[in-house]
Amino acid sequence: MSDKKLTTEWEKLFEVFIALFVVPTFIFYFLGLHLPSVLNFSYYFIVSLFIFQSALSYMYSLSAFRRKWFRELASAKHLAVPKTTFIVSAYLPNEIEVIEDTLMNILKNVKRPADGIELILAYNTPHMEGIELQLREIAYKWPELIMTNAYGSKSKSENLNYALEIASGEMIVLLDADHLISPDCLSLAWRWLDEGYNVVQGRCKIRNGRTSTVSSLVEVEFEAIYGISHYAKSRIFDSTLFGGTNGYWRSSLIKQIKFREDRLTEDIDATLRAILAGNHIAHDRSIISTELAPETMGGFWFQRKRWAQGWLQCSMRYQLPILGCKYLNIFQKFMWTTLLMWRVIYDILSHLLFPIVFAFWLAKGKITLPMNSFIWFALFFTLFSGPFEATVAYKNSSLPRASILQYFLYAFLTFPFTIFKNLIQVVAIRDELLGKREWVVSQRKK
Amino acid sequence: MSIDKKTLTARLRQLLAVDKNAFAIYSELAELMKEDDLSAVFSDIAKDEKRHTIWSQEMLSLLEK
Repeated sequence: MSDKKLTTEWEKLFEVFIALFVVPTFIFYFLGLHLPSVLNFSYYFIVSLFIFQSALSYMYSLSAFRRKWFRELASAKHLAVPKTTFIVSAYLPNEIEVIEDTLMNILKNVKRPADGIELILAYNTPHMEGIELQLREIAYKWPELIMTNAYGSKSKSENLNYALEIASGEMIVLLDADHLISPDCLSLAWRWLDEGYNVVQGRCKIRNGRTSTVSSLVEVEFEAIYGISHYAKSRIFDSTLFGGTNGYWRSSLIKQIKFREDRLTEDIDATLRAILAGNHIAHDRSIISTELAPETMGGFWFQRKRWAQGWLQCSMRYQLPILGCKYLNIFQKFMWTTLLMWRVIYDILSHLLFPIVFAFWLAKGKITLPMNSFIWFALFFTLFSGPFEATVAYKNSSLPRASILQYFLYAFLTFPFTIFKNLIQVVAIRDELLGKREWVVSQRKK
Repeated sequence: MSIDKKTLTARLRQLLAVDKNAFAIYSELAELMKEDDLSAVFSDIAKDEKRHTIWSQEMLSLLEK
């Protein structure tokens, strides 16, 4: 990560600090002087937002508490797993160290359907890398491996679209370059497509959680995201999302949907276009694939900022179509709204709690907490949601489990970690509004 | 020496990807090249690569029948 890039990000943080903390503090202060009820109302309103957000977290955690095994629907046709295409997308200079392991894991370990598999490495590289010749030798040994150099491509979406033109499997598995997929993934995923779903999203697990504090937090966070949040959405609302990797698509659908090249989260964009066209996505947390988490704060920052900005792009484009979608019921529309515009609104408004409290202190002339039984309830309800989620995540975690210490660390740091992530989201909003769209490729190391 | 249908299909699909890649590169070089002679040579090679992809596709269709 260059120093210049990091300096720019600090400058953005400073701007956000002024815009969301300093300026609102004075606005609320002056409002409070003339209209004290506005300050009071704003305080309770923001606290209520925290309660709502925490209530969603409890709902997901509680519904994911029990392990639920796959239950077959009457619509199952019991067809054999068809020929399947794996598409692994890679940006070679950054992902050289991990790509060979990813490919060899698929070639050596994945259980083949009767009609076999094909493995397409979709890559772009600004110059010929030594690894490319090495990979061509592997392709000579393994006819299932197809190397597709998406010449002139500048994005992951272009690589994927290029590979989709070549793919011949009936089921298509999309994977990032660092993913080590489990050998039984195809039969587990096909069960869902066989009974009528169009896409199934598997569980992504972090395998380098012990290398740094950041990756340790992300490991437990992923257990919560994939073991609770996505799973619970699928279970409660019968709708969930494709997260960009470890996703299993019906070939006909993904070839029609393709990936838009102007999106920072092409996966969410593809998800929403699929959902709006009436397709169904399920989440199966038993289909496990391991990946590498960012190990540094800088890596984490740029990864999450891209995700947040991509989600924002999708929120602005698809919130209204989701509300008007004839294929979604009212509960599914609610769920998608909590993922789209609600997140944007919450990220901005939740920061206003601090300016409101600061304005209250300024008005009072002393530091005192405006507490009553409602606020105490809100405080405990909100602060306990993270540790509760961590407990459920631990109970349902995939093997090998992260250490209990990692879960304690996550539970302890949930609140500042969430605030930090919300801050990244706000910087992403700032970047999107100013038209700054930059894809910082994550550096992958073994 | 013999080769089974599955491996032959897989090999042809590998070649198809390589030919498509070569076609894209030669086409771009033909476009970028300022000297007419060289541009014509690259353009001819690009056409050859295009023919390779068509043949590969035809063979794949025959194999899939």
